[in-house]
Amino acid sequence: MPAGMTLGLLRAWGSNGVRSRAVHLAATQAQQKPAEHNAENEEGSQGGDDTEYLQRAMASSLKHDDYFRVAELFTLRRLFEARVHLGHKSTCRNRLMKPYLFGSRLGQDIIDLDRTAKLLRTALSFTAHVTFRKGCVLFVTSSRQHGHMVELAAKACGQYAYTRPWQEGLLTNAEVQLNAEGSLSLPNLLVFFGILNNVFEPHIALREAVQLCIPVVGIVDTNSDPSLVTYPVPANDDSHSSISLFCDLLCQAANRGKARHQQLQAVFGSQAQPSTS
Amino acid sequence: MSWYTRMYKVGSIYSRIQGLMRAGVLKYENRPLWFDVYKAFPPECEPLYQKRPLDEDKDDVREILYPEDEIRAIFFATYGNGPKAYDLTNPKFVSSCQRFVNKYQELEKAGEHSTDTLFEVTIRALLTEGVLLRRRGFSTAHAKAKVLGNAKNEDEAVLG
Repeated sequence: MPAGMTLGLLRAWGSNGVRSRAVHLAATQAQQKPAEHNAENEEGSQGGDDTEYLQRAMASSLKHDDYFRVAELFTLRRLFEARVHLGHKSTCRNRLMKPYLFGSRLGQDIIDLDRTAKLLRTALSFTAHVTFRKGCVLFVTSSRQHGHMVELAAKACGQYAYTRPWQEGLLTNAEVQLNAEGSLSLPNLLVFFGILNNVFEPHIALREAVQLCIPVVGIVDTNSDPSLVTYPVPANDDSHSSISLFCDLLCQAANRGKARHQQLQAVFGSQAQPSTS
Repeated sequence: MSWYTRMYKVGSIYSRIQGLMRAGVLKYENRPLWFDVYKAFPPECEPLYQKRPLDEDKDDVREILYPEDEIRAIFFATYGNGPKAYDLTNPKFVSSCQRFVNKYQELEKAGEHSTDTLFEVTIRALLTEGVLLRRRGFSTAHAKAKVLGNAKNEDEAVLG
């Protein structure tokens, strides 16, 4: 058990708390944001632990346009068949979503899938790069319909999810609310499957993430405000087929990044050992 | 670091971190994990806080309308949804309305009939194929007049 874990965390996570990436099904106080493993670095994680091979790999990965080949994960047809293009009624439209709309068909907004595809590729690529650098991703949704599906997706790629009603301050006041003074590590990326909460207001976690300079990948529907989302993906956030598709895609992207990191570690890690010992 | 820069309404996350680095408060070695990735692949639109747009701004999103919508409108006005229930789970499903539209366009392309008589011809053609259309709303002539908005035709249809 690494040093620095507070009693509060131990209570919350049990004896194998540090690397518990489990889906949190209990609705108790302990059912909090899971991305807190002991890390002393408060400032960032570009630190000196990474060996040279990893630094070089990270630098060269950025030179490729699509290092993780996320473009092959989906096609426009697949987006269409998952009904990603269906927006809300034109009367609920958020003015800021206008650039992403193809048009409105008899009062229902239709999202431009060409733009969605391009933005989705960028978002998936970003997610893969973050997991490549051993970043933690937190999947967030307010939708009770999709909560479990999102949790399963997070579990499938070894990341984290929070699909319960969000208490204000879970990120910005994490040290107090989660009893984690001195041993807190926040997620490196937030992924929203719908950026509105159950009363059609902007999700509090979005504002909190932006306050803490955490990048956000978000599925924005036609009634949502995309301005604070770092990598918005204009898409349908209400249909099961649509959210299911995005869970699948984001999971695959995250896995690709992680797999590449593990691959490099397997190849070069053993070679690096003699120099460090 | 994070508590220096919670001003989310000023600049994007990237510009704020950059600002901290320029000011010397945040060292380059301690930059966040995502910083290099963002720099290499910046989003199309910088994620700046935007106030609610003014209502005076034009909100012109184009209506998606097709030439066959006219035919569909007349069909729906006359026959409602048609005899066949809609199966939305099947992507290749052809509804009665769509069948009507297809037949109409086929006959139109053949060019043997004038536009006035094309509707009646289509109805008869579908009848021979076994599609029984029961009139629910207006007569075809009246429906056509309502949809196409020709006042003269409407008067004729009501009277005749």
